[in-house]
Amino acid sequence: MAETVSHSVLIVEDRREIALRLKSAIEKTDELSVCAIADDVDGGLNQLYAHRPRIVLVDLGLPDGSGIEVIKAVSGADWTCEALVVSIFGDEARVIDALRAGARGYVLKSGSLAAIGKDVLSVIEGGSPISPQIARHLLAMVSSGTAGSSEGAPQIDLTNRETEILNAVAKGYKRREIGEKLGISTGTVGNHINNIYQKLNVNSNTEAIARATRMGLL
Amino acid sequence: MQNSRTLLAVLAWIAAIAGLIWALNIGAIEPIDPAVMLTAGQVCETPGCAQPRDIELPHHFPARHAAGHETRHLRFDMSLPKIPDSLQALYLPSYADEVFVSVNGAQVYGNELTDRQPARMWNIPVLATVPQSLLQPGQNRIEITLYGYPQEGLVLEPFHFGEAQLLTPHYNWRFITSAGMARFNLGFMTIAGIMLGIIWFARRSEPIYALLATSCGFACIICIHFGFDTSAIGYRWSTLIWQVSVSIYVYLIFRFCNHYIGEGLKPLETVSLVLIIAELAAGSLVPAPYLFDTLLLFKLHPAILSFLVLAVLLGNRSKIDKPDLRIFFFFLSMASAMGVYELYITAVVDPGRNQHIFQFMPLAMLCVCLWLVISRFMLSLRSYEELTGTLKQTVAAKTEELRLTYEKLGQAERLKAINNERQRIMLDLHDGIGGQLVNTLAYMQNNEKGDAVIKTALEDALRDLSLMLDSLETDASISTLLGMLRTRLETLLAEHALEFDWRIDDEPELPHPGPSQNLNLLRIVQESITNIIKHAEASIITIASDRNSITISDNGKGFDPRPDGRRHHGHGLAGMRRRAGSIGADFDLSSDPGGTTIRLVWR
Repeated sequence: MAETVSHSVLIVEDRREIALRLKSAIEKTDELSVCAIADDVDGGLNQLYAHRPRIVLVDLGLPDGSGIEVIKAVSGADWTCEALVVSIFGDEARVIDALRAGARGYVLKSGSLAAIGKDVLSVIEGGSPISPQIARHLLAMVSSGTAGSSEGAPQIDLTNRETEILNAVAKGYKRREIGEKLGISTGTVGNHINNIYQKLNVNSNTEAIARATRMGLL
Repeated sequence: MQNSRTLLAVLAWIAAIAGLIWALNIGAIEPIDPAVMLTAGQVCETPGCAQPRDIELPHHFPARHAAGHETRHLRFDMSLPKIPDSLQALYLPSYADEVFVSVNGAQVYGNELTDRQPARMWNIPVLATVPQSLLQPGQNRIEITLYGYPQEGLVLEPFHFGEAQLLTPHYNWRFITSAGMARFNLGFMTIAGIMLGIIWFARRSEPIYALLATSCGFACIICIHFGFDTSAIGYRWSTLIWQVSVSIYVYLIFRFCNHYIGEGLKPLETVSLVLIIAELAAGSLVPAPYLFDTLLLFKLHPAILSFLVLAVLLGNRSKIDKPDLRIFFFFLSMASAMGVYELYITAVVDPGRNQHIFQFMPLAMLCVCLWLVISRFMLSLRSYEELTGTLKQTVAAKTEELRLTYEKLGQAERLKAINNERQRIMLDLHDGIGGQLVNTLAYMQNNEKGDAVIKTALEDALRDLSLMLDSLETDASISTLLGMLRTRLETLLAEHALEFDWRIDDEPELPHPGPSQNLNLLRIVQESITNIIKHAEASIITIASDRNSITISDNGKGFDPRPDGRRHHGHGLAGMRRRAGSIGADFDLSSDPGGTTIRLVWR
């Protein structure tokens, strides 16, 4: 058997059966192993520092708080670690918050969970899963930005190509199809999406700095 | 060229008016029947009248360059057949500067002559009553002593002796048109000056009122000179003050006109100002005997400047409203002509005219001021009315706008409330029912329990819930909802070796957009896809859309869509048709052995 690097995965999910289902789906993939399962924010944070996993799968609605707190801890981790949101449906508003907190994307748990191992591996390889709904929401953030919208509304600046790609994603096109349509490789499409996530995250960081400056913390 | 022609026209015009005033011979001294007009008399070198010399009135003693004052003694003999019954009087219309009158040796007018400055009474006629007791039948002697300033020359015009009752109205008229007019205008100018000052105080941004108020002030000084004895402050200063006042007055009017027209004649204004300062300096420093002539020379400045005022007005007539121009030009040229006339009778030794009329000048100026204030007032009244009109319209428009904004705001509030409530319900469905369904499915899979029917039912319920949540979430974009549907069904399709051919281009827009319409549309599309998965034995599902339609087609084996054909209860065609009707779309189905196509079309 070939030497394979095994990536450890932490699951933070309060519903027992779903957590187990995720565990078995992930362990079907050779390169992945589940190091622990936590069922609330507190446990999730403890396990995170105890096991220092490569990937954290987080449910957002947890009994003692929001999974976003775990995502923030992952963003601040001093080892390579990435968070993925597991969501039953799209639930865009909460997912956008999670993305802004630093999540690399999300996986749906409503359908078959067979593909979840593949999703996790694609994140480790640098991809960022995105759904049409999230793309639509990001586009709204761009256009509301140009209109100089209200105080609370966050905004991001996108290049024309990035906007083009988000538009196609929002209409349900897959990366491969978008690459063919625009005459670029699937990987390049993925890079663009990564950049968009990056901007979202950077944007939330600069907002935090601005807020801190206003409050006199910096 | 143009300017010099204008100036020439102005000169001609002024000459015409001044000539007219001359021709009118205002204040000419005519005999008053039956009073006696005395014109023949004798002038004595001394009070004792050692060497009398015959003279004819009017008599102008030539002006001399000498300081101080001089005295002239004159005597007139008049024979009376008898002592009159009524009170008699002497009426002296014009003389200079001060006069003392005695009849048969008794003083009837003027105080004892002492060594003091002559009073400046040159513009004030004299009516001296003569008691009958002083008169005698036969020869009577009237002695008149003139007391004045040698530089301006002493003057006595013909005078009258007669019944006091007869002479009084003549005296009154003469007084009113000379010193009286000056005093009357002094009052007018004071009031006008104060009012203009108040207007200026209220409207600091309009210096035109300050100019006019100041010019009124200087006009007052001129009025004082023409209406009162000013000898108390000394000959030099009283003369200097009133003469310079004339220069400053014209200078201010010049500035007023320039300002009114918007003409920038700064250099000329500066020259004028320098001349005024020079006049002041010369008036203060020149030796006393030459004071009057020197100042008279400086009067060329206001005279020429007043012509320039008129020339500027005329040259810029296109910039001024017609009525304004007429009023300004008429009254200012009257003032200018009066000035020229005054200058002439003052400068010439025996001018042939004895009545000063310069005291009328402030009246002309007053008309200009009044007209200006009134026309400005009318103008602002008119623009105020216009403004009120526009304001009313604006207020009405803004009120309507405000009402609409409130309405929209109310709608937005309601929408926000609905949205918040929707979010809450969605979150409950998501975390509650959704979580339970997924958990149950996971339990069945983990433990390999439960039968296929329950599993399928749970999966269908989960898909339907997803559809509901999606349609609530992104109510604006059908293409995104279709995209989400694709994401959910992709794994299912893969399990059945099926692929999407995705052709979503233009954003479909339903006739009545909204979450429930979107949900109905998605249900039709989802049901079409599951039908294909279950029955069509196809390998490719094509989803295409444009603004007014969505098409779902496959490359499967097809079926007979007629109601009496093969029964297809599982296809739920009737339900799909009903749903299509509820969103205002036509449901179009065609099928042949090469595949099936469902088309939803709306307008």
